[in-house]
Amino acid sequence: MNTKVYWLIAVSLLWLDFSFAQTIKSQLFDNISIEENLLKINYLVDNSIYLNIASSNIINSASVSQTGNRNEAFIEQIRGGDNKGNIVKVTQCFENNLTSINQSGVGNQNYITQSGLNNKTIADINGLNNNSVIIQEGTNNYISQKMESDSKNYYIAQQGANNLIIQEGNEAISKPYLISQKGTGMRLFITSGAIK
Amino acid sequence: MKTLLNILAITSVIANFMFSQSNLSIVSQLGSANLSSSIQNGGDNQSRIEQVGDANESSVTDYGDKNLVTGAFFHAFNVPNSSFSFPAPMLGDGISQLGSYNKAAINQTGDFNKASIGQIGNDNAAVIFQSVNPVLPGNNNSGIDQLNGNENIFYHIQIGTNEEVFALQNGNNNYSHIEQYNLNSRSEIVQNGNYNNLYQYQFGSAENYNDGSYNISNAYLIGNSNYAYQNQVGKNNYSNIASIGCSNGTPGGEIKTSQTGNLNSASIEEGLLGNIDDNSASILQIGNINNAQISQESGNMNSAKISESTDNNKAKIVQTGSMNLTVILQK
Repeated sequence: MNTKVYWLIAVSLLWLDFSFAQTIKSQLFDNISIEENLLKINYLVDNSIYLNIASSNIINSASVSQTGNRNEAFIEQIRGGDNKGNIVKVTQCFENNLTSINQSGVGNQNYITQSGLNNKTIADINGLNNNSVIIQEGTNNYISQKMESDSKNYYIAQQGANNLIIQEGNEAISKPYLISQKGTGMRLFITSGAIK
Repeated sequence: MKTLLNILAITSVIANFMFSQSNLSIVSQLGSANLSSSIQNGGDNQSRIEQVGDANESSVTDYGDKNLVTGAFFHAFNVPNSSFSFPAPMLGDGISQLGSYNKAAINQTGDFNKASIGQIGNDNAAVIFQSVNPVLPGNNNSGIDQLNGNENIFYHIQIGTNEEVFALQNGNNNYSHIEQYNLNSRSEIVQNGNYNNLYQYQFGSAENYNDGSYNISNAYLIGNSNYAYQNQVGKNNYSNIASIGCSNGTPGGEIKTSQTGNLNSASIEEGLLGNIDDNSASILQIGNINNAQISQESGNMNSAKISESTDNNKAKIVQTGSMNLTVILQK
């Protein structure tokens, strides 16, 4: 084969790899939307999840988009009450990123997506009727979420290898949740006040 | 004695005093250490002072309406990707100084006055006061100012409604300070160079300091290591700072915006061109229904911080690059 044929094969393989990656990525990220006061998740084809916040009123909203390596995002929201909540949306790509969220009050929701290597999400959520969505794709990623009191529900998804989820709660009655891990070397730890 | 004679030879003092309407004052001085002073009391007066040389001083004081002190060196400045719309070039009257260590001052009291200073050189200072007497606030003033060179200082204060300031600084290590009081003010400035400092303030009236509404602050920074600070108090205000880096190895700039009140919007855009590192941007909003946005589109090690107090606020940060830091506080 001449040089042109080698180039054609190489480009074809790259394209296939790119298409495959895009397919996985779309499964993880593209089927999630924030409509007005509604987190809509179509991650599973036959199982859609809808997370409604407590009220149609949003007090404060924060949005962060970071594309690159070694980025850090710290968000603190402490307003809330009377069924009015805050909303956070964070998107981080590539390696060694950190997201830290601290929410207090009622009816808060957060929505975090990270893709790449060695990313960390630390969420500390206090109060009532809070919702959380955290999605990671890649390797050696880490999610630690602490939801105190009677938070409403949460959804965590990881795909890749050697990822870790630590979920802590002190609620008397277990809240609805959905955790999805796909890949190898995954670890999951759940602590709940409802589990003695 | 010889030295004294030399000083007298190069020093001249020209003072004009006019107390009626529709007067025209023209002063032209060539040399160094000249002093020119023009006082006009009335309306529809025009002043023009031209000085070529170093260490000259000129001042124009107008009491009345519709006075004109416009500069000769003003040029329209084309800002890419910006909503800036500087007025068309103006020719003719005003204070124009060519040289270094020059000082120019304009003091106007009344309505519909216009003032302009054009300076080319280094270490120059330009000061414009328009209706700074809070008992007699002016309206519809338009100050058009330009400084070319390094180490220049520009200071502008306006009290009244529908005020406008357009300023352009070319060079390094320049300083600009703009203060506007009352409603519907507009402040736009372009700084082209490095190590410049900018302060833009928009407040309410002296009687009601917290009611400065419908004000607009725009700044466009071209260069590196610049510092800019905008402060607005009131409601329905808008502030914007856009910064372009030049990738010449110097670190990025530091930009701060502070807004107190409701229904305000603030945006900071850094690194629109080039790939500048180490930019810092922060927005502080105290009130309700405010909107803050920081965009750091290129470079690494940038930091962005938005602090918002009370309710119904929005914060958005976009960073492209590595080792960036984002902090959002909504309390």
